[in-house]
Amino acid sequence: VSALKGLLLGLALAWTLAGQDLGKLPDWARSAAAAAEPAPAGADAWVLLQRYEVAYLGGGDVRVRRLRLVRILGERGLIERGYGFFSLGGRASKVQKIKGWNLRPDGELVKVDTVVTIQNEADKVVGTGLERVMKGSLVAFEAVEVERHPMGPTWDLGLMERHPVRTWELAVTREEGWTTDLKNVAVRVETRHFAPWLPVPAPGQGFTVSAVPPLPRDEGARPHPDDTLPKVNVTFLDPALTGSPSLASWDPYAQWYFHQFAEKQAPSKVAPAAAPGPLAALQAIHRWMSREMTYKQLYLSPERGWIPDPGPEVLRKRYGDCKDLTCLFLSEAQGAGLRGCPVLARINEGHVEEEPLPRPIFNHVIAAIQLEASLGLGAEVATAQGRFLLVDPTDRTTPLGLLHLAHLGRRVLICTGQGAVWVTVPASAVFQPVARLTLEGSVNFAGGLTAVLRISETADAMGLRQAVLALGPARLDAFLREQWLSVPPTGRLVVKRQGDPLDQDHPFEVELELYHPQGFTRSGQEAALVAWGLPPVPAQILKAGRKRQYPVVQGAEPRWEFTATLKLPYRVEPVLGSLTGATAFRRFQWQATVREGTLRVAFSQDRPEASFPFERRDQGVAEWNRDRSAMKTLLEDGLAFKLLP
Amino acid sequence: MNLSAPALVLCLAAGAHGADPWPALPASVWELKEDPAKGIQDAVVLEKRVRLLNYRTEFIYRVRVLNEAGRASCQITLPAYAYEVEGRTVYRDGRTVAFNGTKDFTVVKTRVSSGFEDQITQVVPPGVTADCVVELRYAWEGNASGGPLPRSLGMASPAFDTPFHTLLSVLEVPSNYTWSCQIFPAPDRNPVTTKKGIWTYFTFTGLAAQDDAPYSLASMENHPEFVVFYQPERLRSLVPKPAEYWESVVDHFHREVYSRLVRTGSSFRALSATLVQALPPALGPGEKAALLLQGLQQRVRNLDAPTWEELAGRPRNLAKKEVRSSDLEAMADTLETSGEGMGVAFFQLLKDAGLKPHLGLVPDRSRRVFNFDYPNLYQVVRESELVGVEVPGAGVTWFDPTLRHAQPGLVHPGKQGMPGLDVDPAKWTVTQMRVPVQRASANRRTFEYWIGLGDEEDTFRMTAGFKGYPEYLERRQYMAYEGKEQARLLKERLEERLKGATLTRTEVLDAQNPLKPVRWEVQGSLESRGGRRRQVLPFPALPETLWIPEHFRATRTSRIVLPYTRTQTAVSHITVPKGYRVGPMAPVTRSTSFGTVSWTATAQPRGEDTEVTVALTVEVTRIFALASSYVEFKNFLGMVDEVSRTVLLLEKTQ
Repeated sequence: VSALKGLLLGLALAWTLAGQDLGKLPDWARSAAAAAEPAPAGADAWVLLQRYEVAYLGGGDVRVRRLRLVRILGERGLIERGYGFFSLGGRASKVQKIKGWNLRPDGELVKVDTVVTIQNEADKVVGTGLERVMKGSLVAFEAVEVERHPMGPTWDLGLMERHPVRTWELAVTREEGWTTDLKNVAVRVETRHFAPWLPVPAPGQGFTVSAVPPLPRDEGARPHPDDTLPKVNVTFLDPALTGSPSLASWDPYAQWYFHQFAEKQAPSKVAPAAAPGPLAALQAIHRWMSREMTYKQLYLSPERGWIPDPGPEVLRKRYGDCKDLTCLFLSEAQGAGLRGCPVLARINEGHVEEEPLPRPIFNHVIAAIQLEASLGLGAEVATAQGRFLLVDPTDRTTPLGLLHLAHLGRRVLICTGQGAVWVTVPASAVFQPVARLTLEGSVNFAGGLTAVLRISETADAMGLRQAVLALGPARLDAFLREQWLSVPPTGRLVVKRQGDPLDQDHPFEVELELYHPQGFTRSGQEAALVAWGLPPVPAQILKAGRKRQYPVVQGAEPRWEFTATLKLPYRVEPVLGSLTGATAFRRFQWQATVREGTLRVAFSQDRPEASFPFERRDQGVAEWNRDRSAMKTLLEDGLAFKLLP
Repeated sequence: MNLSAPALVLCLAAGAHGADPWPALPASVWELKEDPAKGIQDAVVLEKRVRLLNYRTEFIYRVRVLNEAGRASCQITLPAYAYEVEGRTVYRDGRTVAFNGTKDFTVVKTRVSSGFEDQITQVVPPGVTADCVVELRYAWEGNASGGPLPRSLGMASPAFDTPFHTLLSVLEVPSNYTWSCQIFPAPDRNPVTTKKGIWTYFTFTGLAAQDDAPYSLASMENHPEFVVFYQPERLRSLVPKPAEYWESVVDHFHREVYSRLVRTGSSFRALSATLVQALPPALGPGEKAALLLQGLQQRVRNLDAPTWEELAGRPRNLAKKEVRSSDLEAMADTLETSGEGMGVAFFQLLKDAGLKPHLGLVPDRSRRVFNFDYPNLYQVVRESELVGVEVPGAGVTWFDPTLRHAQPGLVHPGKQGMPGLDVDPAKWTVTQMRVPVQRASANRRTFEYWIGLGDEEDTFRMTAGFKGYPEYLERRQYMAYEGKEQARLLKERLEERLKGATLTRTEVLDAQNPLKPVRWEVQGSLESRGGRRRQVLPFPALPETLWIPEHFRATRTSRIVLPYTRTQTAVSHITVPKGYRVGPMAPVTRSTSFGTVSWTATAQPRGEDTEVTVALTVEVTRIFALASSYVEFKNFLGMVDEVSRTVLLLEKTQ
């Protein structure tokens, strides 16, 4: 039956193609357009060809020719009428050509050759768009760009996208001109994470892969794409190249970074220390910066993505991105007689893997201060080049001596004048987040619950400090309602007291006055307590009937402690008196007692990091569902109370 | 610290006018503090000044940042082609950081090399802290073609107030200003008008921050604002006489389109005759008009609301051709026209049928509330037309022919309850009118569920029907797509509402059939947890009747504006498996001036099982209220929220 179906689809396609003169398409697209096999089931568009021709021209210049041919299969596939890509802009890249062809099923050809540029504060997108694209259209784009990357001739590419790709091709060359000699330039093509998505291509200066599947959709608890999806890196090792870091090994790469910062460090001595010694000096600088400086990413030139502004200029502006703030921190540390250097890190967006040769794979910069002797701080690391204290000047809510949870277990590169020092951030370096919530109050006969909720947040366990900084103290109540506490329109949530979000020495404390008109609602023979102060039931991570494609990964979450003491107007007994549970994603304890008209609840949970790789992903989904079910039971039965006569 | 203290305002007003360098800040500026009870949060705008000149407009903006969040008051989007941008950041200790737009600003551009260029300048002043003052001034020249201010500025209306409390807001207009300038004061906020030389100053002090509370609409808030626009020469003498002004506007613009320029011929006459002759003679004018509109919609495509197929299938020469709304003959030949063309055709059909058409000019409330006493033609020249028919003894029944395939009689809610002009084409005279608000029963969503409970999953089947504006919204959402894609869209929408559901069938029916209302048919299952007790959701994936905001402020100053009146009913038939019983279920029936809610559940034996029927009705009958009704409004939303969350609790009998 499926063979017959395929034949019929092929015939239907051939019939469609009959109205389209493929000769109107550019040469490179014709044979791919003539493909007669049926499109992948359920696809809205089918990328028949995606080809990259990458040529090194010398002097750091890389020319990339992008060729793309797409068949539009459904209305949602019309998104393919546009084509664009990130571009560095300015001196770093020049788009030489963008052309587009729309060959409609009625035979009409629509062409475009205008370049559209959209730039925001940190990114620039270059592309174009075709008119009159319709279902059945064959859409082709060709773009040529010459890029001179500030970090050297290196280039990353992902293979998978929203729509399936029939043929994906890469061809890498060196292109010598009259005056360029590129014989000493080595070409490196590295592939990673191809399995199990695609067959691993043979080593060489290019390859072709067929039947690239589309990106999986609607899957939660998945790793970052950079950690798991197929990628290609193309690097040209040009020994004659100057003006960018060497990509031959990590040591010169780190030294180059060290000098970029060292050249821009000039102390302003804005934060005099209260006491002598390095610890007091560093604390004074860190606290001053936390209160006075804000993070803002604003790039007016292409290299600003990698190169910091000078320390005094950052101070003048009172804002900067992570590089700028690190440069200012290092400047001020230098003013206090301390030596330091930049540290390249990657947070939130996938891990830094073991890389034999350098690539610009980092997304964050922090500082390392060289220590003669230990200061007794958690974020100190001992290395072959001595002892360093890691400091994240961008993080305004973590005290000096610790790092945010996002750094846990991440490999960072300390860039010293002598070379590269790799360090993995240990657990002892991390400011462990804990949320402690205490609910005290009473219930009236109509089920109305009046209570005081006290929250004590260590690190940014509930995002409260960050919310106050971003939204203002007057909007903390709105944040709590939207993120943590469901209060009906007829209820009340008033923030009675809140701490200083920039006080790094103490937990951030908030006291709330709460009222819920149906906080303890009778239904049948039971009453149910509103789930204030408890974590939510985790969402489903896979739609029913679907096959899991991604590994299952859940990062470490803050510890949660909750207690409630409520006076009740009538007699009840807990449906769920106590429960201790452990799943792959959570360990928890629950206890509820009612004595002399007072209900007491105690709940705590720890959520360590959990990971199920490809080969165990189904087990990961099953474990997730078990965890979900346990929390559902807890929140349904734990908050239900049997009415007693 | 009294923020409206005249001394501070006077200090600010005295020095700022075009002064260079910046005047010293009074010490009291640093004493300003947050006071959420008075709406003073995050930042205070010390001064906002607009100076109108014939060939440029000058702006001054000075703001005191009170905390971290107040930094947002300093991120300013400048108009395109702003120039002479300069300013400074001032600290409490008197230090300053100057900026001038060459080093510290970034220009965000959207550019197409074929010629079109749009440019926005985002100012990011340096040195902004959680406790500082930022002062900025710049000048702006309008689009160079045709003069300093583009005609399209028409109803663009800069507000005097801002998202932050504003101490002083001033508009300066010279006597030789060649553009028309209107001030729209708030009811309790008239500007102080003073004159000095050729300048007239309109000054507001102590303006509250704009209130963006849920269910409010800025255009209905009577914010003090001003409008600069082009007043056509022929209308200028009529400005003091609004009635004559509006009649002249209608005569010059609308009569042209609906009468003088109308072109008909044999094709249109044939179409008109077909539709008119099909009208049953016994029907009243309203019913006849409804049938005429339905017939027109059936035959003629409204190109302002095309399907993907129609859009893609248009031949290239037609795709670029301009549609002339008054050319009814071309419409009859091509069976296509614009939304306005549908109005002109309907108007003509009413005349051909011997009925008495009227033209209604009513701006959508999201754009502006029509004001008869402000002679500005831009109030009624775009997307404001309704066509009505005179019904003896019952006034005019209004229709909105621009809404493609809407059920006849539906007027867009943005125009319901709103004032406008009623134009009688017998003599092209105008009278003031207000479009009626349609009844809650006119806008209806009806759902019916059948739910079976299993050990590991619950199955459900659901049908949905729509009427009035909800029907139009559904149609507009799905009409553009082919059937398979409609089903997929519905599936995704419902799955988004109901995490954990598996939908085995979703179907949208009649989305492209103007003769039948849109319906859904859905089947699916939900994960369930059999056990000693189980909670059953009677209405899985039921769309909410009203949006319930996460957060309600304790008080509000803005008017309450709901989208439209409506009725939502849902009935669920739940088969309770053997071994379970249903606890007592108290009915809920509550009512406020905003509407009513009711929730009932009744159990009946059905063979060996029990069937529980749960019925939910929410009716929204009032869409406008003053802020003084806020408590009652919150109570109403609380009632809606409560009944929509109510679950059925089953307990095991053994």
